[in-house]
Amino acid sequence: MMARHKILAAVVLLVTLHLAILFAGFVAPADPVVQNRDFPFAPPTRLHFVDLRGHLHLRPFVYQWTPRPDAFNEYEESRDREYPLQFFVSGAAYRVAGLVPSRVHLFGVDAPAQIFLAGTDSYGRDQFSRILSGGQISVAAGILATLISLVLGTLIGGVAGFWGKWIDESAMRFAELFMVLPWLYVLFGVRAFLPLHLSSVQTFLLLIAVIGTIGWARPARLIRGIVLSAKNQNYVAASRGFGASNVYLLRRHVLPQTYGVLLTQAALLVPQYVLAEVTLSFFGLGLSEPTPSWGGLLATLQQYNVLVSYWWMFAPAVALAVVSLGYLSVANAFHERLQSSSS
Amino acid sequence: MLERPDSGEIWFEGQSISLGNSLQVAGLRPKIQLVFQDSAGALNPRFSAAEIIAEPLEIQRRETGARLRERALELMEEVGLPPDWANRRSLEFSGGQRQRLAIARAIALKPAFLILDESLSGLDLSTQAQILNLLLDLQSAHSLTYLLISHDLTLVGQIADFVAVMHQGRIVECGSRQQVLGSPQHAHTRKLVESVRVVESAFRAAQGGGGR
Amino acid sequence: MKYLFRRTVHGILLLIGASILCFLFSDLAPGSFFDEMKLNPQISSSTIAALRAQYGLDRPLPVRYGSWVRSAFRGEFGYSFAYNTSVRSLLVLRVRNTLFLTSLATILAWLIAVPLGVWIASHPGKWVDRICMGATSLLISLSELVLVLGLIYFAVRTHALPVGGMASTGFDRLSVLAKVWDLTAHLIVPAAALTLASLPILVRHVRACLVEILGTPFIESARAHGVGRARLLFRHALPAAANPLISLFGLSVGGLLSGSLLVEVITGWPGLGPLLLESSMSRDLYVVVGIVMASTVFMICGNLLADVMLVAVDPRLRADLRAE
Repeated sequence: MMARHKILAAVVLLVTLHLAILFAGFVAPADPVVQNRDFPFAPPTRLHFVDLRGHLHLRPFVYQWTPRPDAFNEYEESRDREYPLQFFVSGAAYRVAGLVPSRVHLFGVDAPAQIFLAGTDSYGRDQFSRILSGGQISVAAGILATLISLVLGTLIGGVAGFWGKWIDESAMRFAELFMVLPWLYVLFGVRAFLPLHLSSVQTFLLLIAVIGTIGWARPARLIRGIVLSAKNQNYVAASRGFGASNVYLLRRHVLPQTYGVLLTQAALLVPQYVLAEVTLSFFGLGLSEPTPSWGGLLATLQQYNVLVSYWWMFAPAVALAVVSLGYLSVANAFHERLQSSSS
Repeated sequence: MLERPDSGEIWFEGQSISLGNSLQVAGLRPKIQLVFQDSAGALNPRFSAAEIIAEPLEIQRRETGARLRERALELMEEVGLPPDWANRRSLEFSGGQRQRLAIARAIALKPAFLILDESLSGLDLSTQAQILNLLLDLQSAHSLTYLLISHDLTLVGQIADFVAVMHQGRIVECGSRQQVLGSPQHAHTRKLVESVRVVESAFRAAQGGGGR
Repeated sequence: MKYLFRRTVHGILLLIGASILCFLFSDLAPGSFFDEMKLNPQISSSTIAALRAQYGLDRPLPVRYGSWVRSAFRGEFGYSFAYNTSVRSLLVLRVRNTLFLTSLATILAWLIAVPLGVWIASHPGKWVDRICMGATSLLISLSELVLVLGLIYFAVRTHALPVGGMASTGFDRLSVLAKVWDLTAHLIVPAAALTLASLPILVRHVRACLVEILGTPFIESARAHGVGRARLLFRHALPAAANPLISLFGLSVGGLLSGSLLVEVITGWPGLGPLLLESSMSRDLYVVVGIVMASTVFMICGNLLADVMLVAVDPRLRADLRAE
């Protein structure tokens, strides 16, 4: 079935991305905080397959960047030595998922050459590694905030739809209130009003709490609609006729109807919330140096000279776009599946 | 009870139950069951046949686990559904089969009294006849009392022992079948009986004319 | 008419509720505008306390809310600590600038999205459809942030357009025609970014609406009667699609003041966005509240507009209303 294949393909893509981000320490060739002051704003290292003598190598190799003697912040490849790409090299120490120490990296090259797949920033830090570990923060923020929104929304929407009458009325009025406020402004306002100088962990938790709590209203409306229509079905009345308790009805008949919508909503909200975190960090309201996050990485682009001269600094935007695309495809596929199963 | 009555009383087995407390109601649930007209809406489309039939047993905690499934299969056989369809979802069944499913579910708790709310409308005539036969078989097998709500007077005339006629929300006439249908007293009842007679004579005339 | 009255009252109640919520949120701030001053050792804490008392920041929440409401009725909507002026005078100019930008972008987006969406919907499944879905997905994933940065990149690279701000230096000395051209040149990058950001979602919605309508039985029967393609679209399908499209339009109008934060800040367009950022960072409370409330008013008005238009356009709703 077409829809099922689409879901599978999109999910596989997404899972691969998430795994790469989760194991950022392994996939990245360098330590994200290590500075190479000799190589500020180095462009991405080029991979070569054909050497100077015209031989084809199956294993790509790189040349080391050396600063051009007469120019500033310009580099040329020093062709005297070729450094083949190695896999499973030993490199900088890191911890897998913050627990298990390891030194193995997926790929790398021998010293003194370095491989900067996405170039370096003003401190000479490898952007590729920073993007991967920054992804941990940004994507995790998106996912956790989505969880908060959906849990809140399901609770309130479910209660409103199931118990109805004045609970429903007041809950929906409350939701309307939240939906009428400009959420981006409120997000910025609330975040800025809270203490600006907090530890990384506190900032992170604060971010996801704020982003997640503001967005409960739309999911709540959707869930309430589903619960309401499920509640009025004859089979629920029949169940009641058998003596079913409210808990049973919710568990067996009502809540299973919400799963489809919840999944689609999750797939839609995660990229939105990741973007919210990125936007906040871009303006300095999120996590600050040295913790990398995609927003912080993109913030250097606010300086015109960086924006214009060093195009590789856009790379975190590509990562963001890929993640968004992945989630969007999943959301579309879920939506199609939902449409076809309800008709 | 599903709804609260506005006025009047309901008596069951010699006791008034219209304003019963929850304990009384809970005790009555297994004894009185309901089969809806709209079988598609009355059965959760995502549930399998076995799950639907087993639900009342599950709720009332009569059986558990494997025994639950066995009982469901037994009931499926009893209403004439092939047991190997137990895992099919209810929306894959036809109208008549769904009605059988609903009946199986209704008798799962071994009730004494079954309310059939227009359960045969919306089915084509041959299916109606089959379901009717099933209902009659079940009635003799389990000594059930039926309350059949129907707008089909011919159907009522075929199987009912007692008849009550409703008009604009009130019962306007009730009595035995011979009384009500043979010598109707109320104007509304007379109109109903008359309309059936008209259809029947037209039918017989058409048969007679075609038979020549 | 009664319906309009009811919805307006509803809107006003929402506004009141939103303002209360706003104040509640702002109360989360453990600090105040004057906290930055605490860092300066030359200013004694008693001075700061006196300043706070002067501006009423030490009074309890209901009192502060009450005085804000009174100020709102006077037309001032509070006071800005940083700019030393009433919030209203600060906002008027900014609102004008933002509205200018967002109205242009919204009109453009709708002008492109509706015909495009309709055209694509009438060829479902063909390569046009696929390209559209792919392009819109791409544009949505490349969020507004990336779009505006990218546009600035091209503007600077090609030296074609000025970047930043709303007017070049020496604006006042230009002739009228030159002024118009200067304004337009400055407008292009932010407006393009906003339009590109909202276009894909609009196109998708229009397309989805129309695809659904074109699949309904009444269109099928019209087609069976031999109604031509164009007539089918314009006299049968579009009116039926009006309902969801009007709701969408209401949302677009409602978002006129709140959708451009990012673009304005990055391109330096002097609208509400930069002001909000600046005031939030400096805890200029009443300015933030004023901006949030202004956007909320627009959102409520947008919904109201949509409600009224819906009733005017959809005969079914009119019948419902008459039946009440």
